[in-house]
Amino acid sequence: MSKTAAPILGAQELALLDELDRRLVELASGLGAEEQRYPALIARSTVEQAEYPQAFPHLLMFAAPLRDPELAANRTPLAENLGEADWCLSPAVCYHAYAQHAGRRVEQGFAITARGRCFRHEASVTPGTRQIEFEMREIIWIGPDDWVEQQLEQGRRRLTVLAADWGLAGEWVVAEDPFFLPAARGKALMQRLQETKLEYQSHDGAVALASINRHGSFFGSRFGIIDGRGESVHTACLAVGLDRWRSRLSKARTS
Amino acid sequence: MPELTARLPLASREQFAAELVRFINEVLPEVHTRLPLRPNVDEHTLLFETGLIDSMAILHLVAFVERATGQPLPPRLVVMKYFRTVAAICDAFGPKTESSS
Repeated sequence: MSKTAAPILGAQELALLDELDRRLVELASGLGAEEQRYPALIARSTVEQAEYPQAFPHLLMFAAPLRDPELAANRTPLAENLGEADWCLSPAVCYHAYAQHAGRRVEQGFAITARGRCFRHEASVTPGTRQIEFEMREIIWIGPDDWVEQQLEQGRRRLTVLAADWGLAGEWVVAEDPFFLPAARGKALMQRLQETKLEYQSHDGAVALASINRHGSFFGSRFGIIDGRGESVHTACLAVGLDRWRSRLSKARTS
Repeated sequence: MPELTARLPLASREQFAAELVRFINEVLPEVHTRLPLRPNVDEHTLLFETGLIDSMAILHLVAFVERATGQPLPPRLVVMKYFRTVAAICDAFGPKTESSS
């Protein structure tokens, strides 16, 4: 097992990462997105409200205290001494936004952007490509369906231009989430059919550098966010894998 | 398992279409109780825009196509242009030659 959940970055790598994110923040601001910073931990109740455990139980990671700290001194196995796991390590950034605005009536659409540390229990790890801990810059749209779709398309086009500017040419392809349970195979097929998830794949097809995800009214409904007509809002997000961009750019610069 | 009244392999596009329409109208509502009792689809009914096919029904639909064609259906072929209507499914996966009988 790797002893680090993510690569340790030096000054040069950090500068590259920050420059990259600065350009993404500019893109997001140009679309009217307001910057937020969310915690790395997310309430387990929020993750359950988003139905994440049903879809991706294999990826979810929990934070739990020791039930009885004194037992630790007796070398009691950890599995026998864990307390209630009220927190999860955030698997994505956008869930924080839905929880933040839960129960709200939204008269007009709005956008949020946030850079966050995310955590997924991946079966195999490749630094810079697939990590237990990674960063994403997301833009999240919440509002009426046609407005969300229009904004998402604008975001997708602008990100495509930005990626090409950085020498990361690729193409958008239909994709599906890594649902775990066989019973969720139908959800994965519906994602393909309705093209609700697109990934921006590098030209060599090796890695998805970004994704757009159309949620319909799923999260609006789950989190009780309604529009001016009293109907569940639509949401969508554009997610950029910062570690993947940094890794590719860093390799290109050194080769 | 979706039931086919005709013998495999289905000889013609017409037979494929007829079996598929029958499957959606008669068999699918029995195995997927969220569907209306008699959806009354025809070859040109929009299966997804009408909300008829959801994430459960699509599994039954794919299973029907696999059984009717005798071939597994790779996920990359499960795209809207091939599944939008019964006609689209028949054009994509049904027999390409007419029966001579």
